[in-house]
Amino acid sequence: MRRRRFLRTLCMGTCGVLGSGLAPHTVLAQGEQFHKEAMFFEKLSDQRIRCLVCPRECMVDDFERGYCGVRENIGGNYYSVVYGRVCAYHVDPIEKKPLFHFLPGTTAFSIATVGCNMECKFCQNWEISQERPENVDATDIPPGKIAEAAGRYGSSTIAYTYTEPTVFYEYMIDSATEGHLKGIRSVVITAGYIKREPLERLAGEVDAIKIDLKAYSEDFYEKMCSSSLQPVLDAIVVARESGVWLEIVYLVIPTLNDDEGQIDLMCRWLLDHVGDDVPIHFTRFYPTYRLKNLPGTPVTSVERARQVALARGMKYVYVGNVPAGHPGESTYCPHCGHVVVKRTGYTVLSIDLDEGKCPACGTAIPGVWT
Amino acid sequence: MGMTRRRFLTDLAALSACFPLSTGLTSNLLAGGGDASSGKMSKVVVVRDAGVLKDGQPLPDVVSSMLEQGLENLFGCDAVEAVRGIFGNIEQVGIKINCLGGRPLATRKEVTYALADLIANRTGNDYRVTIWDRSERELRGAGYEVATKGQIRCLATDSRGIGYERSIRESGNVGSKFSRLLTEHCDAVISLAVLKDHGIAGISGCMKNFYGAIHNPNKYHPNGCDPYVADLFRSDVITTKHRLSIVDGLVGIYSGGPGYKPRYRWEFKGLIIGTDPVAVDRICLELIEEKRKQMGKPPLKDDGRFPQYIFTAGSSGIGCSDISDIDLIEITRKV
Repeated sequence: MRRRRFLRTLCMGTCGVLGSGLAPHTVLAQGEQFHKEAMFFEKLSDQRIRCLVCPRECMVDDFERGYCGVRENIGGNYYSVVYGRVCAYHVDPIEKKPLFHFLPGTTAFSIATVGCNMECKFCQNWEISQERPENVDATDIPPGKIAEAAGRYGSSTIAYTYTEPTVFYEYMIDSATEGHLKGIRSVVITAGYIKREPLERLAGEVDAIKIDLKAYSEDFYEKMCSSSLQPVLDAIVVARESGVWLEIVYLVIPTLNDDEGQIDLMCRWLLDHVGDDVPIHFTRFYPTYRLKNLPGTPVTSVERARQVALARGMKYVYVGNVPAGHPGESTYCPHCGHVVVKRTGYTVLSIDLDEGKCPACGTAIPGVWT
Repeated sequence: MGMTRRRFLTDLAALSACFPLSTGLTSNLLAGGGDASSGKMSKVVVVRDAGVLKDGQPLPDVVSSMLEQGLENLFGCDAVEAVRGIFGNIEQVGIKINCLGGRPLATRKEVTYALADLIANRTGNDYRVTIWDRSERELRGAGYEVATKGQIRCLATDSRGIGYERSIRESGNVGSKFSRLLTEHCDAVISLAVLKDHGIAGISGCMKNFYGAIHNPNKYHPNGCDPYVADLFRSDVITTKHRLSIVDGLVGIYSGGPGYKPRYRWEFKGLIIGTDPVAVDRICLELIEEKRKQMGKPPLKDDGRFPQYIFTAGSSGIGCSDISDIDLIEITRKV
C-alpha cells in the first residue's frame, strides 16, 4: 500500500470507525479554501504582508502564500486557508506522539491540516506536509467539533500533529480553547520552528509540547531541513520557561546526525538550558521521501545515543521505533532505578507512581500524570 | 507521429532557412538563439506597437502581427518557418501562461491564442497545442475558458485527470512534483509570461513562470528566489522541453507585483521574445528598472529585491545574463 493510500485510508477509515460524529461534515472539493484571518503578521506598503508566526518572517505579496503554503495574502490581509480543513485525523496512544510523561496510557485525538514551514528530506508525512491544500482531500471540522469528537471517543487530549501545527496556528488555538471548555487537554507535536511571541501565547493555551530537535548542527538544519537550528533551541527554552510540559525527540539518522560527540554536545546544551529532567527520545529513522539512499537506523545507534545522554546526566532518556519491549521504552526512577512506567511499544503495561513519586524511594518523577 | 519524407524535407528546409548550417538548430537553441553575425551569445527581440491597445484591450490582429514580426526577426525567416524549425516533428506543444494576477495582469488571451493559432493551424504540422496554468480557477479568473478537446486545448494542472506527478524530482535543494501537463502532455513548452514587478523576486519573468508547474512554489521563494528559479529551470523536464520564451508586455506593472495594482499599470505595448530565457528575463529587468526610474521608484537593488536569480541562472549555464552579450533587436511600430 502506498503512503498516500495509507493516509487516505487512515482518514476515511477513522471516519467509519469513529461513527457518525465527523462523517456528516463536508468533504471539500479540491480548490476550495477555508479562510480565517491570521494572527501574528504586519501589514506593509503595497498590500504586502510580513508573517510573524515563524522565524522565516515571510514577505508575502498579494495573491501569494508564505513558505508553508497555507497562509495567504488576499488583498493585503493575511489568512490561514486551512482553518478547520483537516486532512488527517486519528485516535492515537499518547505514547505514539511520543509523550511519555503526560497522561500515560491515554489516547489523543490527533489532527492535521496540510502544510509545513520546513522541508525535511526525511519527512515521513511529506505527502501532506509538503502539499498545498488544493491538492489534498480534507474534511471540514470546526474547533468545537474536534473537542466534541475527542470527548466522544474517550480521548483525554487533542494532539496537533502529523504535519507542522505552527502553520495552522489559529485553528490549533481555537481547538485548544474549545477543548478546555469540555475538559479536553491539548498537546502540540512540533518542530519548534516558531517565533517567541506566538509560542508564548500557544504555551498558555495548551498542556504539553513535544519538540523535534532534528540535530545539533546548523549545517544539518540548513541542508536537510531548509531551516536553521537556533530558533528551535530558542523555542525549547521558551517552552520550558513557560511551564508547559515539554519533551524532546531526536530522530537519529545514520551518518547525518548520529555522531556521539554531536549528541553529547546537544545533551550538554539541554542540561544547561532546560535541565536534566526534560524527557528526550532517540528514535530510529526509516528511509523515506528524499532520503531513501540511507539505511534505516540500527537499534544499536539509538541505544548508544541513549547511553550518551544518560552518561551526560539526562534523567529520562528513551528509545523509539524499536522492537516492542525494549527496556529503553520504560520510565525508571533516576534515584533508585525502580520501573515507574512499564511500556511495550505504544502500550503501557503498568504505572507505578504514588502521587507522581517513585513508590520505592519517594523521588518525584516530573510529568503530568493525572 | 512518424517522420515522413515530406516532413523531413519540410523540416530541413525550415532549418536551412532559419539557421546557419554551421551552427545548426540544436546548438543554436542551446546557445540561446545567438546570432553568429553579431557575435553575441543570445538574441532577444522586443516588438512594440503604439496601436496595439484600444480602450486598454489588445487588438488581436495587431498582436498577431507583432508576434510574427518578432519571430521573424529572432530567427531570420518567416514566422511559420520559424515555428516549424523550433518544434520539428514533435506532436504536443505546451504554452505555459501566467494567470496569477487575474484578468488585468494575466498573459493576455490575444497573445496566447495568436501564438497557439500560429503553431496549431498555420504550420501544416498538426501540432497539438495545450495552453495551461496551475488551476482552472486562475484560468477562468484571467478570462480563459477551459477546453479539453480540439487542436488547441486549455487546461490546468487541477483539471480532471491531470494533476501532479506522484514522484518527487529534485530541483537543487528542494523536491517537487511536476505538473503532468508539462511532463506528459507536452513534448515542448513555451514560457509565455507577463512583464511585471515582483515583491520578493524583483521581477517575475519567463523563468519564474515555471513556478506554476510544480506543486510547492512556496518552497522556492526564500532569498529573493535565488537560486531557486535557476535550480528549477535546470530540471531536466524543463531544460529538455523549453523552446521559446515570450513575455507579454502589452500591459505590465513596474511596482507592487505580482498582484495587479492599478496605480502601477504600465502600458508597455510590447512583446519580448527569445529562445534564451535568461536573456529574455535580463531584458525585462532592464525595462522594469528603466520604467521605475522614469516613475521615480528606486532601483530594485535599493528596494532589497534585486533579481539575483537571473545572474545565478546565467552563471549556471542556462543562458546569458550579461547585457553586453545579448543582441537586442528593438522594433517600434506606429510611433
